[in-house]
Amino acid sequence: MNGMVSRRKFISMTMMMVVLLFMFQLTQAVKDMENEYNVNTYAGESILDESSAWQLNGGVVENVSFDKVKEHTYVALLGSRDTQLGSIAQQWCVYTKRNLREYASVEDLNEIKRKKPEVLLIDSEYVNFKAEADDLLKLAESDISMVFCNLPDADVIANSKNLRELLGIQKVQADEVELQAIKLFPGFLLGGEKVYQVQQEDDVKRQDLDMTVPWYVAFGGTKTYMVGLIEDETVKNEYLPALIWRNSHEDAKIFAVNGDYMYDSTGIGILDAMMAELHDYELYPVVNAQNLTVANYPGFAEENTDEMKRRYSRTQRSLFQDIMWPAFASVSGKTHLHETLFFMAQGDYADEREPSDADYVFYLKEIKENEAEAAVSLENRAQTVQLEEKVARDNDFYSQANDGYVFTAGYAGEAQAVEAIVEQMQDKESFCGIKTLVQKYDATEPLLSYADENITLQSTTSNGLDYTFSQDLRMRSLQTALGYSNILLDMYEVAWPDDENDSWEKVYDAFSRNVNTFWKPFEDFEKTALSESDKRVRNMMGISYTDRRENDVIYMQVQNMPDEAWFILRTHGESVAEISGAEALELEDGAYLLKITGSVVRIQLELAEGPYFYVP
Amino acid sequence: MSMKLYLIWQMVGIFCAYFGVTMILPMAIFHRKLEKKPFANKILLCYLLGNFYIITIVQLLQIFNISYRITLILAVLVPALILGVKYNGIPVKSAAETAVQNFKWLTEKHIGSKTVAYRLMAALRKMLIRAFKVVDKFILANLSEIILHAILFLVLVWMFGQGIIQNYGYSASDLPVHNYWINAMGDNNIFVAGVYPHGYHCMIYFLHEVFGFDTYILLSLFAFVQVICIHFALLYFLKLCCKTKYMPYVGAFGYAAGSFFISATYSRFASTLPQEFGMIFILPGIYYGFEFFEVRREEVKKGEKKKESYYSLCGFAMSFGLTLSAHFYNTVIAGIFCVAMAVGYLFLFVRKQYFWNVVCTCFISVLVAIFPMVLAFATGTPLQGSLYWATEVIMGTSDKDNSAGNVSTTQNPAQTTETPGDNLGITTNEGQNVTQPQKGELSDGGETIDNDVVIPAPRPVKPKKSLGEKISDLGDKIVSKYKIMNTAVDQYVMTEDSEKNGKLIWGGVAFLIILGLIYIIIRQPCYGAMLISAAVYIVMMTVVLSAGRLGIPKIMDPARSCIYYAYSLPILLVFCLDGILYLVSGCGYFKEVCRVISLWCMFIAFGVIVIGDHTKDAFVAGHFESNEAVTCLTNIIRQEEDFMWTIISANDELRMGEDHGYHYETITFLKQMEKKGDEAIITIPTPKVYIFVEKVPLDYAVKYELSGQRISEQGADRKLPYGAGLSPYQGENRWVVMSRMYYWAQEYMRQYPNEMKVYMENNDFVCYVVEQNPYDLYNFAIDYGYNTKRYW
Repeated sequence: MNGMVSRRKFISMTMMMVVLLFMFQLTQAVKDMENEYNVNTYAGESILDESSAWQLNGGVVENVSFDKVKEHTYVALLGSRDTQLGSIAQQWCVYTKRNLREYASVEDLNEIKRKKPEVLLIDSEYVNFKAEADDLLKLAESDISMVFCNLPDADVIANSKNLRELLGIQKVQADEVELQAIKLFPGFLLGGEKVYQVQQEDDVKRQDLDMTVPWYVAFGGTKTYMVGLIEDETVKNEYLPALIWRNSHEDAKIFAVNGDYMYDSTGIGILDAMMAELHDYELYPVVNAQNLTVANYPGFAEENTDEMKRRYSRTQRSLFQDIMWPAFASVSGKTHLHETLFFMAQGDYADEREPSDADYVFYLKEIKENEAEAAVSLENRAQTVQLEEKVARDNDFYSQANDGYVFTAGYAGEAQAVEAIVEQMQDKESFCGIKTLVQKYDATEPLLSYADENITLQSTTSNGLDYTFSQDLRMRSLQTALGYSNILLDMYEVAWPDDENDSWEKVYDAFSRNVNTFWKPFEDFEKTALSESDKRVRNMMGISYTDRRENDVIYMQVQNMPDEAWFILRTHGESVAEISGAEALELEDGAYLLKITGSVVRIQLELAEGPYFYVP
Repeated sequence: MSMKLYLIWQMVGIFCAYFGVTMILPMAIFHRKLEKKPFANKILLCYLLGNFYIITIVQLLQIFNISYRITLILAVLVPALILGVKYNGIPVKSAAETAVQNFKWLTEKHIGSKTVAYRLMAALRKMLIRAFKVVDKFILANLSEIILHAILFLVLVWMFGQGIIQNYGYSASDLPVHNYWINAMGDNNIFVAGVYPHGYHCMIYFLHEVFGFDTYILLSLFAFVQVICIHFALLYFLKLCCKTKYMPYVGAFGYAAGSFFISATYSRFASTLPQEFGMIFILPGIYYGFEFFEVRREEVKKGEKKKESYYSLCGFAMSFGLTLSAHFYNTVIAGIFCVAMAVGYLFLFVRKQYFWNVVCTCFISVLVAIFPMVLAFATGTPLQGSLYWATEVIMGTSDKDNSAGNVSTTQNPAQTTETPGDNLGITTNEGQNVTQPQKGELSDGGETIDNDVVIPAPRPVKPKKSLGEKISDLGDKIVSKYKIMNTAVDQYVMTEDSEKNGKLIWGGVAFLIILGLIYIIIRQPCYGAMLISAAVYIVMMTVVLSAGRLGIPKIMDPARSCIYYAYSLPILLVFCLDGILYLVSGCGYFKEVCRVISLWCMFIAFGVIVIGDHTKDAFVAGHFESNEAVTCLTNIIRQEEDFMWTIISANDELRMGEDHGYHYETITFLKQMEKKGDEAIITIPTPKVYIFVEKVPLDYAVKYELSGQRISEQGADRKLPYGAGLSPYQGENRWVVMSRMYYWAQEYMRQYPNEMKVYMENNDFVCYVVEQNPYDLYNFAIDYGYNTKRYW
């Protein structure tokens, strides 16, 4: 009998195993019971709608009346709001609650000498530099600060002494120079220093910045925020091609942008950073929301089965559930991003493969556990049926599958489709709760706006798969301007792959690498689901404020104070010593995220470190 | 925190560190070995030993390039422990055995931790009680002396301490040079500017390296330690030489508080300079010379071998060596006193039992002092500039004595990066009006002002003179020389220009000689010889002081010799009083009477000084750097990471912050953008750049008509001074430079309002700070209006 397990031991071991089994199963069972998967945690009551949003120029479509504006309270635009540059300027003004007056020519600018604007934004297309450079110089001598959102041709600059003097350009070294890299210095945009340079094979795909620029050498007295690096390493830093810089002319500050950075949302953050450089402090509202949009995932129909089996030896639903979901759960756990998954009822409406609600509850439960949000994709990607039919069939499916869950966010895909989708959503049971729509980034469209009276429109800011240099620069800019990002991960291509690059392992590899790396500098901003972000966008759009500084104290009065709001405070070597009516979180040197808790905020600043010893 | 409070705190620290190492530590080691010696003698011997050891060990470690904090600490502590154990009979073995045994019992739980703690506490208590008893006994036995010591200390605090605390910066123009040399020792490069006696630098370096005091703080504050040592060295010398108890205090107090001597005789005490450091060691050496003759005479009499006299020789050798390793001038003075001693003790000196001992000791002490220098010279290091001068003096080829101490500064790049080797040409810097020298004060070059211009006349044919006429002429010549010497004494030393001065000094000398002879006759030969030596020394010093006027080669500039001369006169006075009092008290027969009379003499002397309004004012030296600049520098060093900042300022901060950050000279800065404006490129590759501007520019050794005026547009509108070296920072030039710098700062601040801030500002000074990205440096060259103006 040696070596045999005694009865007593056998019973003990069995009991232990039963206890262990019971313990694990019990917790799982309790978790499952407690999981209110059919309740959308992020669906809240939205009090603010488009009518409560702050209106540019008090809602006047044209210029705000010059008689009504006070000095330094408005922005002058030499250009047109109808242009891409003007649109960006207008967006910036809306987000930062600035009034905007546009002027079509330099001649028209004469009146601004009487009531000086906070800054004059210049679209060089609207200036005849040969004849009008001197006028601009005179405006600068009247202490009017300017932003040259774009620059005229290098030969125009080379031939105009006044313009060079205004811009602080010592000489035009070359009409064109091929840059090896672009270096963004810290302290301008949030996120610290960044060098955009092709160093590895992967970077070749990411490089999409314009690397051929005119070479301007700046004078002493200028401050450079972004420079181009060239192949010739013997060139001193001071002589490198300046891309964004500031010159001082009398008491005016002249900012110049050598490149096309102001033609999309990147310009919004650049303008905010410039204002921070222009003033001794800068305070502006932000959204404070970091979103991850997973579009067209999961799908509920067994589609494209042959291709799926060929690639993954399993069906599409199995791929979504067994392979992709654990990966998303893992990314969510690592990054703490609150993913918003936009369900795709089916991709192809003509293949007669109808969606099944078999996995529906599973996803809702898993999403709930991972603090993610379930939403619906209304993008008619396959175009196999009309949008109207797609929306109707999706509505039918969700009505049938739903167990009380209210969708509050929807994915619209391309910006052009938004209007139609909003129209089709009307009176659809499953979609009537939608309060925010997500659209793909479009430089010509506002980043954050209202799709209709009650529905906000949030753009994605970058693609999680092809994270290019320009997207990174835009992301930094938007973080600076709005504390907002919305990464798009569209799973449609994985379900209907075009080529090998659409295979899940490659997609996951690129996505997880990008998300884990490039958002690191902005971890102090809050991770939100789209519905959470929606509420914050409404708050930010609705808020208005006034602020002033007396010695070391900044006072801010917030109007239309919602239940929560965030601001960014930028200082120069000063830190927040005391604060009331808000909580301050230091993002980086001289940059604070303020959570406003009262309508009156008092911020006491102090020099980061004054002298310890003093002369008695 | 107030900068003053910080400096006082630092000064206390420096005091503790310096005397801890040079006095307390040797005392702890050798107190049993020296227990028979008088307290003052013990103190002196330990102090000399401490200084001698530290300086020698630093030099050796420097020569071998292994001078670091750890090696320095080991070089001090290891021998101290070994010798301490040896000379104090500490039973290390049995103590270790007991400790091991106790530990064993503790681990084996034969005894508990409470028992061990109780035993340790009991032992500690026993030690403390014993120490307390010793201290208590010492205080009770020497209460009067302790009080007098305390009073002397307080007098010195009043006279010199407050002045040193009042002006934080350097008060001598050659201190940056010394700072540079000391900084170089941090890289084991002791002879960075050539072979030079580095005793003083070694001591400052040691305190800096081991105790962590910043060199500039030491160079600002150590002067007070020197002042204390100089005065107490005089007191202890007199105490050891005199037969009466309180008479030495007359000399020490008179010298410290009396207003008998012009400020030039003590103005250098406000600065931490090598000459003043070496001055401490002159009198102790002389005392050990006197002691040697006395002790050796007793040994010879008794037929004993050298035992006690050995200590005297050691003391003499260390002192003599220290004077040489600190500054050549001190050796000159010590040498003169030695010659005087040889004259006074001639009857003993020429005997073989004494002669070879003294000669060998002198030789060894000189050898030890110059050994590191010889070694460096032999290995190819050239002599430092001032040593060439010293060599010329010794060889008699020096045609011009141009204040040797400052020659050193003229050959060195330490003061300014602008043009190395500029002639500083400043010896006196204590706020005197150097452009208009008055009596007893000095001209720019350290030369005295002599209005008696002698116009050469055709040589007359000399008629033959009779013997009577020759005697008469000789008498006239003597009288004439006597008058010349008296004039020199009046001009360079005494505050009151009176014929009495000469009479008193010469009368004192004569009196001392007579007293000395009397003592020799009454069989107190050593005491008598000592008095004669002192008299001869005074005569020789008077000759040295007036050598130029007497037409004999000057071995020392009167500006320097007057310091030693004034330091010697209390000896003359006290020896006279002591000699007569000792004589009338029956050569110690009536000890108590002698003590009481000496006490009364002391009180009378105090009365004369205080009631007779002969107290000198508290001395405040002129400053070469503003207090605000030093305060800013201290703040910057404290707050910023090392080598992450640059200061743009005039010259002094160059060396002061060398261990921590970088320096950019104001004049270089301004010159680089002159006429170019913003087309020039000036970049400074540190994250922080501090700019010092004096709103009321200092008078850096040179005054001008509108001294003290504020910077102004008129100043900035003037052409930028193009002189070399320090000249842009002197006189009116400094006003122009600071005005220019101020208006540059104003314009730059306008262009960079958020990047440039005021760091510290008051009515006289402003410090700006610019924060920049080291990878995106600002161009500091701008067109601030004045730099692009045409001046022709």
